[in-house]
Amino acid sequence: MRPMLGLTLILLAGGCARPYPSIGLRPVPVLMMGGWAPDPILRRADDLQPTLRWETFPRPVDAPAVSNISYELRIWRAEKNQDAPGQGLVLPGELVYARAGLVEPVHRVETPLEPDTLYLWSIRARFELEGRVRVTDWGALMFPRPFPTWLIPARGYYPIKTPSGTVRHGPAA
Amino acid sequence: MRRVVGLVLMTAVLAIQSGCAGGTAAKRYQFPPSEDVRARLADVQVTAAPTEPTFQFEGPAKGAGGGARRGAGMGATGTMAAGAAAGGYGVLAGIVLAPVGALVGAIVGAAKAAPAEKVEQQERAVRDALQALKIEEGASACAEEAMRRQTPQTRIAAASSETASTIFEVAVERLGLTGPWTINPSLSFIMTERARLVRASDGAEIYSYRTVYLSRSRPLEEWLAADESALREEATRACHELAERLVDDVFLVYRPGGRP
Repeated sequence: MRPMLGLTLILLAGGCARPYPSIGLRPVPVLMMGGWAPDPILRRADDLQPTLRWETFPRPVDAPAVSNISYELRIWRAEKNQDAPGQGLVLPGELVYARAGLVEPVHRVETPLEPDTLYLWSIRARFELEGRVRVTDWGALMFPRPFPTWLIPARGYYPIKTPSGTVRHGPAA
Repeated sequence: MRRVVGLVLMTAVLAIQSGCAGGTAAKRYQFPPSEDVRARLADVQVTAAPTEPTFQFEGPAKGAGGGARRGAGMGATGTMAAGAAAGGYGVLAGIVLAPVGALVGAIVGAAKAAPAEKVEQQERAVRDALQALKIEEGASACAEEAMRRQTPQTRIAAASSETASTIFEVAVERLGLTGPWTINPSLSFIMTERARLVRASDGAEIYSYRTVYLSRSRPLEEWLAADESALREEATRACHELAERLVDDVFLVYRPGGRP
């Protein structure tokens, strides 16, 4: 009986250890399903100026013949969306930070965010394909509910919570 | 007994594994135009579709009658859901007790609902405020502004130009407030836009795309406070964000192999 129980637990954990369904570029490290954290999607920043990292573009699935690659980053203050079952618990509110033309898939936020505040962030790649400017979708989770990409404001941007207290120049988030 | 437990465990594994494997996003997005279609887009003229948007208002229950209907529905479904959650005989109990839940819900709903005249007056205020904004005219202006900002490579023909080869037609199909079917729900601002690429020479539709703006929810009173200022601010934000997304998805977004 015990081997059966052990095998079951291994299969349960292993079966769910895969990336959350998403669109666009994903944060690094990639969020994996099957963890034991109480809120596996939420990232807690160590600093009011967190360093955000994401996948390099082009990914193996993307067209290889792209050039002039850069990244765009946006951070919104999260707004609670109460009494709206099935429509997303938090939505992007005020856009508080935006950068374009980033050449590396990593960025340290240049102005301090508010302490103890939930933000949502997303990135996308801008590039040229056969001489024409193209972009990827804004990166977003399709979890816990696969929201349609044509729904605005987008549900599923990546949540990050800033620490309480004053600005502290610490290590990357 | 052991066989039964083993069977249950393996069933749980299969169920959870298949659940984790789900979440297919493929049906949740619309395909952008092909690169071949995009390559033929030149001298694009942005126009507003000659249609009036449909006003949408899914607000609070109107009067004791409306409240009783919604309360009865909520009471019945709530009772059955609670029974189903309990499982076993709970399912049967939920079905049997559903009429009792409906009766209690109807009484509570009738007591809690706002007078019909008040809700109708609020609905008129929302309709009048949105009509005064003339969003259907603003939507094409927002789209043209977004095109100039986001796609400098696309030539935009003047509104009076007869040389445009492609028409980018923007229509506001629906707008208003919407919320869940409860007695006095919080409401979200909703605005549905449809964009079409039309060949100017023969009016043939090349591509069509629909997108929906659904704001965070607020009580109806908040939407109407301070001369409907929250409603106007949300409509302005919706105009810009819908335009940005339309231009992104129609002219810029690239999804290799259809994969997002």
